[in-house]
Amino acid sequence: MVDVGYFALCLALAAAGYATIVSLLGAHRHHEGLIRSGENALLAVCTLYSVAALSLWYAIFTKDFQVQYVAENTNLAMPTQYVLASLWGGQNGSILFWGWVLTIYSAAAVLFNRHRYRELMPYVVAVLSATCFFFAILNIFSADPFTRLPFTPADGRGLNPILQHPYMAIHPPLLYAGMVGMVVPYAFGIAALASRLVDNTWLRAMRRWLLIPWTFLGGGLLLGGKWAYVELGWGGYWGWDPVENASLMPFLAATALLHSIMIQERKGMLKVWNMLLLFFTFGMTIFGTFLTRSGIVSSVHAFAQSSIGTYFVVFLLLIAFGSIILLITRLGDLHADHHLESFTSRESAFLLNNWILLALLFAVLWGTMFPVLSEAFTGDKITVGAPFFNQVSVPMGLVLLFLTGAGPLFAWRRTSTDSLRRNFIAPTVIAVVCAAGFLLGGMQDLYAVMSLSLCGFVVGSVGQEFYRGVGARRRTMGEGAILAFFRLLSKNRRRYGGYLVHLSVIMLFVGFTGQAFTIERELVLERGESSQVGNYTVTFDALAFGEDANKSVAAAALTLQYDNQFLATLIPERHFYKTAEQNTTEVSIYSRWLEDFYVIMVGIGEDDRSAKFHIYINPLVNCVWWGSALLVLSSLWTMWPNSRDRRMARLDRDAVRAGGWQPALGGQPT
Amino acid sequence: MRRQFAIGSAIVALGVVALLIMGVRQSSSRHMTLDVLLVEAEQVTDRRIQLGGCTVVPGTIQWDEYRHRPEFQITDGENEVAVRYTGNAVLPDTFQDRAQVVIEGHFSSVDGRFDAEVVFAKCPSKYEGQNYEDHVEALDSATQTAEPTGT
Repeated sequence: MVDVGYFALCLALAAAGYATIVSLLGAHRHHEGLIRSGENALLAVCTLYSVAALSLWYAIFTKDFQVQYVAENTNLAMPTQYVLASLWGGQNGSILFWGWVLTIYSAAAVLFNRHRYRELMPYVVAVLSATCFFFAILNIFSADPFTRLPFTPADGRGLNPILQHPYMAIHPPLLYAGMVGMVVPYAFGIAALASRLVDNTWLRAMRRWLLIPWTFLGGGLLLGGKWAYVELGWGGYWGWDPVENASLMPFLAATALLHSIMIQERKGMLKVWNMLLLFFTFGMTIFGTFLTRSGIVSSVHAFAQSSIGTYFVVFLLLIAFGSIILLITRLGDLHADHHLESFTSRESAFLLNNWILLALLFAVLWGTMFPVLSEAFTGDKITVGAPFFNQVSVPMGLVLLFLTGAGPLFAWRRTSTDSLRRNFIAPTVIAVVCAAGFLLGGMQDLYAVMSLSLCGFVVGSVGQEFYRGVGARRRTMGEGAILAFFRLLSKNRRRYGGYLVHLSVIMLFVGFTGQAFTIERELVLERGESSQVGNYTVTFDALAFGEDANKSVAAAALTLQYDNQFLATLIPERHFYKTAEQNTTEVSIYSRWLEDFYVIMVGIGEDDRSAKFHIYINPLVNCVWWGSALLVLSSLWTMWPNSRDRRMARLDRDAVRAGGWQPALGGQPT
Repeated sequence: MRRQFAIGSAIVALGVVALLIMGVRQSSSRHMTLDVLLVEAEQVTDRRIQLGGCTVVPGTIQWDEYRHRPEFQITDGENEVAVRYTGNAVLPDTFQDRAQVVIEGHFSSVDGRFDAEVVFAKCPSKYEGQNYEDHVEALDSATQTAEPTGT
């Protein structure tokens, strides 16, 4: 069965190569038949990759341990839902999965644009199929998941218990859907340059294809944090590990791009900048993959070297040089329609937003690559740890917070002093009141005061926007307040949905700020003993031991009280997995609105009468999880086509069908 | 406008660079391998060191009363050094005999012991490159029956 899979990959390689060549030929000769053939070939690549992925799944489900990948990553005792996830649990399977997601995105891009953007699509197909070609090469020559062993083991090695958690199962697919998806907007950018159709058409075409992976990437990053928080037991959710940073960086670049393309759409500015930023975003996804898998930076995720890194470097260099050369040849097409006129303009605020996001990206990149760079230039390998990243990112985060609130308060081109006053007053007052409140309330951490006050600033700014928007609808449409509010959200999804996304980001930042107030305590308790931590009383009641086929368990029962009111019984545990010979710590968390009470059992005394616990009180941490959910939901809302989009799409399709092949037709009728 | 813009960008850029330099200076640790560390031990006594490329010598992990802060020996294949974990965090579950570790902290050439504030132990996911022959051996010895298969 796996031989079917390998064969399918080889066919996919051929089909992808064919698709690239045929699409470019068809574009060059304006030959509709060739172009359609290229699109169909790309669809075939998706089908073939699906066959390959399904055949590996088949081997996994039928416990075919003769297949090396199955033997390494699964075992007989593994629960079914993780068997599913083991497709992406090991290196080779994960590369296959990556390629599969890529082909699915490619097929979707083709199908959704069957009757649209005909000038751009041949080049889009060419870029997508060339990328599929690269990943097929990886899977065939370097990361083959279908190799067989010369014997059949009786059982496999299985997935490490620490990874057998529902969040950890979903986290890679989400991240891949985010990272891989950036290839589609990149393809549209290249297509725009190649076809010389560099007006707003390609921006309209690619906007959703940028928002979708952005949402997946954000969701994946935050879900990874949630997993780390509930599973790893160090009380935090983000460690600035190189692998974490590898997916954060493309997210920052994509966020910058999402904002700067708005400037290009409105003002026809930043055309070259956006192209470079787009190349950079896609490049960072490939670079991030390279970082994670090559082993050049040591991280808790990977220690060893691997030859797969070389393939990625080559691909990255090809993309970089190819894109930039194409851009240089088309520089003449990319004239700005307007120029920056004033610092107090929305363009200026967005530009500063880009600067800060990229500065943050650069800081993260700098810190992550510092060991490699310092070794190359000085011979000494110097690493920088979490304190560096935290120290550097906080000031930049604060500026970003300010910009999030200030952006909508500026007008395009130039904001008059009157407007400035009118727009800034309410949010600024709110911010000042917050700051005063916190300082008078005794808050000493200045960064925290600034962060929370700026969050107040943004809430004030967004609230003001909604207030004015609702007011306008009430006056002009005679709608009631609540109806006006919903209409505002549904008819102007980009703007007001975007504001919702900003509010989610505020919630995230409030959660992040809570880390400044974490209380950490190490406690040794005898059975029956109590201790005070802040306003909490924790009593060590009992210790229990148990065992099943998979593992043995030691559990402690703790009674948690707040101000002498009973809250809950917390049960932190230690698990010992027999086959894997691994310990895991099961954290016990009591979540309240404003903070979490988080307990780990570090160890048990020899007489089983006492135990050592580590306790964290994490203020505001739940804002991070609520903010994450809100971020994904509001992003989905923003990108969802409303009735106007659907009407325009139908007009497109009818126009193309009625007119047949019209090379001059760029997209939507104007 | 152009000049103002250039000045503004320069200010932002300088601010960022200053931030980065200060940050690195305050929280950097120098990565070394064990052989180099033993040679340069006296020069690096005050510096924060990151030691990689070592594994835990089997049987040397000595846990304290609550299995929190162990003392153990690590080796790079040739040299050995004693380590004491001084951090607060619970050690990762991947920390065990023969685990690949990266430790961070300070080395005292006088005591001949490394005080590790941070201990990273190898992550359980298999993203690293695998040597096929080693693998086959490991799988072979880990399993009981091997059914010869013809292809």
